[in-house]
Amino acid sequence: MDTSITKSYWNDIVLAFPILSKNEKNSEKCDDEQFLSIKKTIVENKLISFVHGMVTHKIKQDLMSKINDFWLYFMPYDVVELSYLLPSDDVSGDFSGFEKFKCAVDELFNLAQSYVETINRLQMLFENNKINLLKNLNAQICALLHSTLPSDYNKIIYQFYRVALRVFTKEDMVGDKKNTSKDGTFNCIGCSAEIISCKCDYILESFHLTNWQLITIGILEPLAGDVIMDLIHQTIESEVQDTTKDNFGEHHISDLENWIDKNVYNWVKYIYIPKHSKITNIADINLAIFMRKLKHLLYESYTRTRIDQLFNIIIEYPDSEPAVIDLSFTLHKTDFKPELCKKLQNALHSRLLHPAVNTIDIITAYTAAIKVLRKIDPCGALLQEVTQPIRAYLRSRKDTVRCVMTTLTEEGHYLTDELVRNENVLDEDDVCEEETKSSKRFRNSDTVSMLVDIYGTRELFVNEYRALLADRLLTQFMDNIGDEIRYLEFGDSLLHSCSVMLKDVYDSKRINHHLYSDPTSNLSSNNLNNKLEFPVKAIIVSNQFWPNFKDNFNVELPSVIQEHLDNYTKAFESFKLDDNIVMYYYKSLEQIKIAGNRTLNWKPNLGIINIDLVLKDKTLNFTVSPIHATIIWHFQEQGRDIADICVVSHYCEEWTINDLSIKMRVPATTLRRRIGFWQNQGLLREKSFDSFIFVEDGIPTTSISGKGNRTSFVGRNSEFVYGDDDDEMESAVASAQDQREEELQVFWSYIVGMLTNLDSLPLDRIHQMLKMFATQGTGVDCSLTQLRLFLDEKVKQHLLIFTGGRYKLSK
Amino acid sequence: MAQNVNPRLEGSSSNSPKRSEDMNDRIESNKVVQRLQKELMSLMMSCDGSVSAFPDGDNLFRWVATIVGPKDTVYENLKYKLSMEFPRGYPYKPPTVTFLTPCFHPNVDFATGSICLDILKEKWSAMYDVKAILISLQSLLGEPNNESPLNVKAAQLWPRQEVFKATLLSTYKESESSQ
Repeated sequence: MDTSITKSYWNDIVLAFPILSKNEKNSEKCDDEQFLSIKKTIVENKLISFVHGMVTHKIKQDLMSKINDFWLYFMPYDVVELSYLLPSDDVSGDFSGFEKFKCAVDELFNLAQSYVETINRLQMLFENNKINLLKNLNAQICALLHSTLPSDYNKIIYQFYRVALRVFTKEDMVGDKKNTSKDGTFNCIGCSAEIISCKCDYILESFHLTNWQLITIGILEPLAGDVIMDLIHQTIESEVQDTTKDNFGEHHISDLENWIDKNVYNWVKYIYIPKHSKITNIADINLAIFMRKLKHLLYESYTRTRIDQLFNIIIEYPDSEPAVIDLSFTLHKTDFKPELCKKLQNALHSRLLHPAVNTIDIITAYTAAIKVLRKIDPCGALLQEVTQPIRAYLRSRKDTVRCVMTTLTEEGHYLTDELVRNENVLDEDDVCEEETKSSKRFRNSDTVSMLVDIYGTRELFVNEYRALLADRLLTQFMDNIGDEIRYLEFGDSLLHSCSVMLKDVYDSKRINHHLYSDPTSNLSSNNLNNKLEFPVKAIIVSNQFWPNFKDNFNVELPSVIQEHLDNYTKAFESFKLDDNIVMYYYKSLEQIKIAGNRTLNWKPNLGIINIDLVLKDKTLNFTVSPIHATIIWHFQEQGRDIADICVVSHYCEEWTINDLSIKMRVPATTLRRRIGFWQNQGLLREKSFDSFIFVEDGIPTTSISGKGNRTSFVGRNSEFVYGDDDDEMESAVASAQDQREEELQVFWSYIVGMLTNLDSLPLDRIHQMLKMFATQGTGVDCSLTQLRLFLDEKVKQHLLIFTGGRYKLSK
Repeated sequence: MAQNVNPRLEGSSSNSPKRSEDMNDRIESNKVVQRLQKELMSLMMSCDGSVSAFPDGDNLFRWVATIVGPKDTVYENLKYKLSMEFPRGYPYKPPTVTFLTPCFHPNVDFATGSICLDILKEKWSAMYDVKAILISLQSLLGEPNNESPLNVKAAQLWPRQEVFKATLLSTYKESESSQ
């Protein structure tokens, strides 16, 4: 090809695409008419791809040389000085970022626009629209930007959007908070500038423009999409935090949904659909998807926040009920159950299940957790999973059973109400389809039975309740039988023995009444030849049904009291019972054995005595255990007979623990403890070691009211101090653990029996045999693990030999 | 022998002949189970270590019993295992008792272990229970009935206690795996 022709072609091309000239600025431009002819030339000479290649290459080079300017704005140090933006106090760091980003985008936009003309011409060379050169250009810009991404480019983008967001959301702020006063000047909450020089409008305007520019270049989403999403996320997060912060008493979800629909939607719309934009249709659909995503984000954020607070929510239940309902709603929409499980368990471990927490508090939290979790997840699977550690922990506490029973029977306690309520509204929970068998059990069982089920068996609880009931009946003297009867209804047949106990008390009442009113009885008031100084009232108990009493010793009562008891016995013996059955009875003050000829077998350690102590200037009234009463009795001067009204006039005797122990037939240790009570009352003093004297004007070392708090028994007009210390309270009745040991002893005789005859057996076979032959009637159960522990204990005691997986008796 | 007749069976057969045998059977066997369970419990609770018995496996109608030879007899300290099988009609019918441990005794078949004891046969009474049987057997060891011997050799040797004991000990082998 001729060089001159080539040259003229080139000149034409340069004329059409000035960008190709070496000195672009000075080059002249051709008008459209010229371009058409040039185009013709190019097409005729098939130079399209050459020209296209040249031009795009040139643009690329040009872009590469200039694109770095864009990122200069993003450098941490002000590489680009914004001359008109002097650093001053009223311009926050965010705002300078806002300006920087605005300028950067502005320049980038102008840069991009400067190619548009060239690109348009280039586009005209192609007859068809298969290749969208403008789009290619935008993609190229985007790619170039990304290829030169500085490390912390996000910072000023964040600043930019944050400033705008703040301005945008300032309308949401409540009136009062709108303008914060600082140093006496009012600052706009939106732009933190002084009200007079508020830049909000300016910010919104430039924000809008910048977004439009970004959309036009097509780099809004690639460049700032993450940031916007993140900011919205943060906003949602903080909004959720703000609304839900320690506030469990209101429903928030619908408010939050409205907030998303209104405020966040507007903001997103403001960014993605600027007024000048033409591509609204696609954007609308995208926006709808976007909003759905945001709602999900909201639910997630809400769920996560609530999960973090769940422990507090549980503690505050039922005040926190709205929060619980909200959570159950959002939990269904998200997938946070495993996280809930884990977090709640962690919270429980660190805040509830450690030695510093009272058992009763754990139980309270446990019941609340049961209710909350059942609301959140009606299936019960969650409940079972989460509360499993609590149950395990409660099992390891010795006083759990007692605590549960105490709370169940305590007047006015919420669990008592629970008990009553549950009888009426059981099984109102909605049905959940995917429930497993075990969770079904959990769902259906009411809270009280879940408490009882901590141990897996009801027997243990019933035993404990029996012990508790025995204590109450013996110390309260048959006052509130009606209340007790109500509690009995929850445990069906297992509480049979408890109802027998109540019946005993009721019968005793009748017998007492009868003995005192029957004219033929030597206790009746007609028989005045009896020196009846105080009434003896007995509680006659059926040995079979009452828990075992711990009676290693029987206190020797003062003779006066003993006389009265004998008197009562005589009266009772002459009293005709309808049936002749041989029965074993106990009595509250004492044990009674009614055989065929019906004698009373008194149990002198139990029961209570009401005494008056008459001092020089005052009379003190106490209701105390017989041992207490006997101790103080021995300190009075001989000669005056008293009992129920025990008048003690002169106290001068001195007793040593040893003498008293022999006299009363009470172990010295027990005696010392009981004496401690009178010491606290200021009535006895330890003169020398183990030697006590009575003091009339002593000052109580502990206030009387402080004494009774543990037992909270208050006599009619006196302080009741039966349970001076813990072990005494339990001393009357054998604990559940002791009874358990006894039951295991029964198993032991069976085990010996089977091993004697069947030589050696493996563990599971023994377990099976016990289940088959030894548990009838007793209702006692023994798990495989318990049995193994028990047998291993016997191996340690050399009673058994364990070889080859089988147990056998040692010879 | 009236005591060996089940009063309920007697009554029901005459009063309600239509009642199906099957039904009666089941009720009866239930009664037997209860009775055996009760006996087991009292046996377990008694502290007598010289006699003992326990159901063999899951079947409550078959027990394994252990008796220890009585003091001051040639059987002293020897342990014997027995099997007891209770009929459906127990306690109105006696259980079948046999020695599992081979026993050299005038009234015991050494090979089969079957026992010749009147109270297990014609003199059985519903008043007896497992414990009574075992104690009777225990005393039978020391006081054999030589009039009607099952083991003639043992009956002949019995008067000479020294020789008898030697023979006894040479035949005695405590079975560890009687099951």
